[in-house]
Amino acid sequence: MDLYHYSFFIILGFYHGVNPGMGWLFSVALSMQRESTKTIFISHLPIALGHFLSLIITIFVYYIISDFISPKTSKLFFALLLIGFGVYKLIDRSHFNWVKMNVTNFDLFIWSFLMASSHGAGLMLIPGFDYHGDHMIHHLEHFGLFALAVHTIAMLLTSLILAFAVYKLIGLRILRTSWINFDYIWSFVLIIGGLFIFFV
Amino acid sequence: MGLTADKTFYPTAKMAMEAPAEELAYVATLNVHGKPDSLCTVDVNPNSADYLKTVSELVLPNVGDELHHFGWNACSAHLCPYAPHPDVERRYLLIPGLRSSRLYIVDTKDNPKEPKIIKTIEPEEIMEKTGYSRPHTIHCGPEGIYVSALGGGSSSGEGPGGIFLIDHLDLEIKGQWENDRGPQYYAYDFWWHLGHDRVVTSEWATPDLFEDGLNLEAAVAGRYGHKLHIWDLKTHNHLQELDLGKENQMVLELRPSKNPKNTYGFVGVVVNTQDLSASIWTWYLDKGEWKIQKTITIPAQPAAAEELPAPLKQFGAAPPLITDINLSLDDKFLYVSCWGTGELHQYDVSDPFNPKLAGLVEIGGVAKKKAHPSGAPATGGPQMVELSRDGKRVYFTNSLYSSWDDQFYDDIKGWFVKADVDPNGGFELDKDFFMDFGDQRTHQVRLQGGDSSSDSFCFPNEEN
Repeated sequence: MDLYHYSFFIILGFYHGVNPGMGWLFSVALSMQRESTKTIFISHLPIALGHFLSLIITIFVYYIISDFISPKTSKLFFALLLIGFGVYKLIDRSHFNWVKMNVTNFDLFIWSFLMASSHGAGLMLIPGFDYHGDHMIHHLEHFGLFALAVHTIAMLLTSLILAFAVYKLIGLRILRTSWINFDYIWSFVLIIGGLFIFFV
Repeated sequence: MGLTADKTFYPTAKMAMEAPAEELAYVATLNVHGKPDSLCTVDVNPNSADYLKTVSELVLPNVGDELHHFGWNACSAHLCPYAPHPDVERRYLLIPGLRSSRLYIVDTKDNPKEPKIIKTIEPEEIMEKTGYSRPHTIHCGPEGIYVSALGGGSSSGEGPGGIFLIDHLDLEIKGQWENDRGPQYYAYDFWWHLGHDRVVTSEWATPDLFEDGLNLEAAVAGRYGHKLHIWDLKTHNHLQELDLGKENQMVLELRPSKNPKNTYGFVGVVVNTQDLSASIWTWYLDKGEWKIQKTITIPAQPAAAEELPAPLKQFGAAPPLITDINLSLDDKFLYVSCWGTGELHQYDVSDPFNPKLAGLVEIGGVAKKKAHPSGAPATGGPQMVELSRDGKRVYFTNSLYSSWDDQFYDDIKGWFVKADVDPNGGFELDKDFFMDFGDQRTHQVRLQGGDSSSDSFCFPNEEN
């Protein structure tokens, strides 16, 4: 993996970390509710693990599919999948609500897994994977898992720093002044990713 | 869907107190003379040329809805961190007809001064999809729009009442909220402690006990509601029942602390059948168990029989009849409507177990019949009370429910007034603010952008 690939995974890690729907805001709320700075750090472990698991499953499926279809078909399939999912997320604005404020670390893990999965966090990374027709296991060992770990660490650090800064320094007013519609941007990133797969 | 957050959403209750002053008030009015009810839009901006004028009246297309409470499609709860969607707009008012079981949805966005009906959900659809009728309180919350309903799924007047959900995006009915209702049968108000995943519901009665007027015999027998119910917000299951004792008839408005960290709240009891007093109770969590205790008692006021309406002559006293309460966003002041005695009380509830009377205004009353300071005669008494987000202006109206109005007051005429609050405690009626609605009986008031009973918050107040 070269620098170009690394930066792709790291930049998207920053991006996922900044999205309030991926965990930092939940972490802030829990810390305020429990009056505990420690909660900022503790809550990020299940948040990062849930995110990581969602990515692993996505990429696992990506390699399985790539093993079974021709590179040309695969290119078309994943390009359309990303564009289609991006468009779907633009139209469908529903969100799951089974989790509430009173959560265990396990709840947080499942929550983060579902948030990442339902938003297509793993799909967004597909343009960064390069399928060469090798066997799946080869990729997971030498490339895939490491890249996902790098991405998750970037996401975790961004989220952690943001949560800590909002909790300790900035305050919640940022939600009123600086909030932008992440769902919109998210959809467009997915669509651009799909176009990238198709044309590059 | 907006690109930025709705500016009327605030992460914490204390931050919401910084909101700009409201310029419009939406007032539900009901008509008992064979005409339809209306939603009136009133200009409450003192700098406007239309100040204290009804700038538009949305006359409903049906007769006999009996408007009561209403509320917004979205509020600050959309900032809740497990599914933050602050791009959802606060733009629709959901307006139930308590008698007809019809629900109107009006849009205030295109022209806030002239709301338009965009959707009507007919009674049959509500009954069929939710198993309920007589929709009442509206709260926007974590799973969409929650609506309490007082009757079961037919026009018969039986229960059980409960809560149903409406999707906040497509405004379609999602269905009954309860999973396991346990012993709960009566419904009225509901609210929650978002930080603890707990819902509290209260009890008025089933429609057969209130639609034709107050049934005194039933009240004396303790057949109106006298309990609170605690529920799990996540599983929708009944957890605990708090019985205030059957002499405490009609447990109505619920005002939990606005700070999600706290685990207490206030509820008003209309009447104690032994001494005609009314009371405020404080519920609280104590080592995993919910408890409740009486924290304010307002005694009945002796009055001569000839001054009293028929049902009260035998008692020789005017009961306070607490019909509505409202809590400021900083949890500091609780406003209590005494519809019978014609008083609105302000309590300092900084210590929720030891409220102190901080202010009192008088207007109307079954015996006192006190005029407004402007000199205008005032029938009825303080009923639905709404407080601006900054806590500085208290708006209130005088009609309770058509059949009950007629039992306690002769020929009630609708009015809408305002009182100004001293931040250190105390408040007084604005002598220039008296709006006479005549035959239109005034009910709940909602303030543009939100008010002290429209929003709930997932984030505890920040310390600074």
